[in-house]
Amino acid sequence: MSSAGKVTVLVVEDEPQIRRFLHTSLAGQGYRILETATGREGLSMAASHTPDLVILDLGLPDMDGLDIIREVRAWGNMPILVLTARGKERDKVTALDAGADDYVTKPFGMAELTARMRVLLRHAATRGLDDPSAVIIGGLTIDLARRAVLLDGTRVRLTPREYATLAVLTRARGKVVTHRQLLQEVWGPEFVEQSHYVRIYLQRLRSKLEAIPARPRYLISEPGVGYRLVDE
Amino acid sequence: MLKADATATRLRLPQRSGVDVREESPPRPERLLVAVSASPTATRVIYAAANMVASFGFAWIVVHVEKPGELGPGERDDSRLAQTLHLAESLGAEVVSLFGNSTSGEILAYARARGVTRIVVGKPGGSWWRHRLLGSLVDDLVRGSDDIDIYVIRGAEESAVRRDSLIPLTRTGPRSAYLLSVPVVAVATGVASLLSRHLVPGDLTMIYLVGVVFAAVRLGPGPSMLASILSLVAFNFFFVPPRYTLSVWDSRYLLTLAVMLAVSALTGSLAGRLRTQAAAARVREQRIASLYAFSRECTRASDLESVVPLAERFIGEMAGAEVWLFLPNAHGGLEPAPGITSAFALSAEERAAAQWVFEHGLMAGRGTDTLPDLQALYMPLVAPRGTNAVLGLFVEDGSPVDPDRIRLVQALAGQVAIVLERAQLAGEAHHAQVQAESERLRDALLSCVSHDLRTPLGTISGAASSLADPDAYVPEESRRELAQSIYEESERLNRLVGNLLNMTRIEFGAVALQKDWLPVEEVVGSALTRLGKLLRDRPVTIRVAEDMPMASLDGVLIEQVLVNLIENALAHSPDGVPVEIGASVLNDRLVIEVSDRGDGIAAGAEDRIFESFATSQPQGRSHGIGLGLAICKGFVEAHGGTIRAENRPGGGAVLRFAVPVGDGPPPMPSGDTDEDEEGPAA
Repeated sequence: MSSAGKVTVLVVEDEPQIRRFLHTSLAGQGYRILETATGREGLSMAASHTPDLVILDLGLPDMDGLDIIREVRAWGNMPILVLTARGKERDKVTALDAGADDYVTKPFGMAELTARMRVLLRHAATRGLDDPSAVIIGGLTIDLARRAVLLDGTRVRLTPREYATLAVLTRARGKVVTHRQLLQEVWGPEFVEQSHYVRIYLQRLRSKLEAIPARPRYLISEPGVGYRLVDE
Repeated sequence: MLKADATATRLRLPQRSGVDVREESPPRPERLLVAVSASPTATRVIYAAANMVASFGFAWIVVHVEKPGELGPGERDDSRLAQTLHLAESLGAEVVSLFGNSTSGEILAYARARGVTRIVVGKPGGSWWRHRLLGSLVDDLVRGSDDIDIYVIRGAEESAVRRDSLIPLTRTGPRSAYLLSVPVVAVATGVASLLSRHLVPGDLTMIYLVGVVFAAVRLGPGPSMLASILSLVAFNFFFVPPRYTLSVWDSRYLLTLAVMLAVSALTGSLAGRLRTQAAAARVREQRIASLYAFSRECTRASDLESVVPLAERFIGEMAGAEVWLFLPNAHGGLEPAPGITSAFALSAEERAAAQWVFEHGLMAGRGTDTLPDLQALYMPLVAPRGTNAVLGLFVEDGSPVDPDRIRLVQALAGQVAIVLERAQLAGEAHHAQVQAESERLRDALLSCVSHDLRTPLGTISGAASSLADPDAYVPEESRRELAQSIYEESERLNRLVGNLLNMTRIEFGAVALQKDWLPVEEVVGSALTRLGKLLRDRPVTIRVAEDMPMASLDGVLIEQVLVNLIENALAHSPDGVPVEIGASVLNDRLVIEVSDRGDGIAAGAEDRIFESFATSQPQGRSHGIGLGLAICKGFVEAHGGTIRAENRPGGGAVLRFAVPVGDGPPPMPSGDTDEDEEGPAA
């Protein structure tokens, strides 16, 4: 958080209409807004103002959004939320794997955007701290310290890899985790292409944790991108 | 313009007064009559006449006279005549058959009746003395023509070629046939000497007669006549006393000689005719077989790409020459069909000749009177709608163009022309269909843009303008409602645009699959998650078979298919009635179905609902723009699958699609499958 107490958000977006609507809505919710239409200026503003969060449009005219993410990640770890269009799942995945934290698909509602922003800001605030002792989402309790999972108060037995998969999602709860990131952390770098491993494990986790696996309450799939453990 | 016929001879009868009558009376409309026979030169006459007609713009009639009681022409002649008349017809002539005793008389009478001003005939072949003896058609015509001009077209050399090359009179060469008559007579003499003790000399002539008949049948009339003379000499020498002299000459033997000669001539010519007919039948049979093979191949080839090489190969083999097809391009110019690899270079002259042939529908080049110095013979391919291509027949330098072959190629060319026309018509019909379809799509798209997209836009702009108006008093609750409807309508607009984009991808064939191994349950789940608010409180029953294998799918596209199918079910069934989703595997295909308990599908519309812009709803209650199901079809077909709809027993509809499951994902390494359940450390 910035010193003034207000959260500073940098909006890098070339569409003036979207900038205006973001400015109005976010300022109304108490955020301090910096905005620019170009990637170049966005990079220099990110360096000079060190905002708490960057909202980055992937389709900027002057620079590839991926390059901006990589340049920012070269020196900073502020959360980056990318704005993309539907049907560009590949772009989302590459942006996320390049270091973006989450994405919102245009057109989006403010509720969705601010929910994502809150998650990212919370993760940024707790970065470097110990894992929370227990994460409670509805009837699901994941106790990372004790490696225990409870559903409606009953202990659920998981295999080590099921647990490892769930733990990765829990630490990133609310944020999307790409298939590649999950494979990398649970299986190791040589398995990052085997996305069906992750799908099989998510399927197993759902059958153990969800009331109706085909209508998941906790473990949401983001088609073509990855998975997200809901936050609340 | 090319000259009609450089060798055409123009015979003009002198007017009695010495003054051209037609200069005084108003000119009559010119009409040309062409008299043809079954002679092989007739085609040449037809072409020459056609060139004249093309040059001067005459109307023309082609006439053939049949004589009663005339020794029936061979079938070969019949077919040749038919070809000739067909050629004339295809070149625009009126074709008439006359019947009468006098060829020239019939022709002249008909010509007068039709107001013909010029008559074209072929120059007769045959020997000079025969004409002297029997008279000729040309002479008769000239004698009776009065004010009609007579043109005589050369054609003799062609018939000479034909006679030598096609059906030889005898199997052996003529000279050796004459020599062979000597051993025949020798054998007859030998046999006669064996029997001479038992027979009187007069009867021995019968043995010689057998030899003569044999010679006539096997060697032809000429050698047989030689054999007759030799027989008589031998008979006289060996058997007529005083033997071994030729001194006695009885007038009786003159009669014997005459009988022998007559038998020779008659038998020889009959046998010759039989042989000729047999040979002709063989040739005809071969040609019919190749024509049949060709037409069979042609019926299989329906597009230009396959017809052209087929025709080039077939005709080339039949004609023993290289064949090129020239097809018109988009600008009316003529281009050799693509894919020709040839030893013959195509000069500008050859191209120009092909173009001329195409434009005039007449033959030109080698073996014709028009530009005979060219490398190739160019032949128009004439179909009912006109000339649609030109066939070039390239013959090695120095070898003559066999007219019989040309006629055969003409017959084939007619067939090729029709096949080409059929292919062109099919192409045009297809084009027209595509055109009509794209017009229908365009209209539907326009009405979609004007209606379906404007409706949400109207709501949005109306609601937003009330909110933006500083003078209007809007209570807080209404402000929220307006904002809500703006949000909902913009979501709807977003879906419509998404559908239009997807449809465009499908129409342009730009659907690239990104397949992954997916659990079906997950795809169903993410579709339901995405539908979220649209589902509201609608109950959804999900039946996914146990142990469903993973399927190789593009998750994003199949999710879209499911979303559209579920949206369709929601739209066509009342609130509160459950929507059912089922998934199973049948014959290596993943089958997913979405069923509702709505009104079902109108009879006969089961396939139509998957067409673009087909809405089963009447106007005014539009739930989209009728693209949803078309997108489903496009995406499912991109997966190599099928989709269909049917009514359910008990009411409602079921929309079902099936896609290949795939061979299963590569297995996980065994060390990574944690089979042993291990409770997390307490």
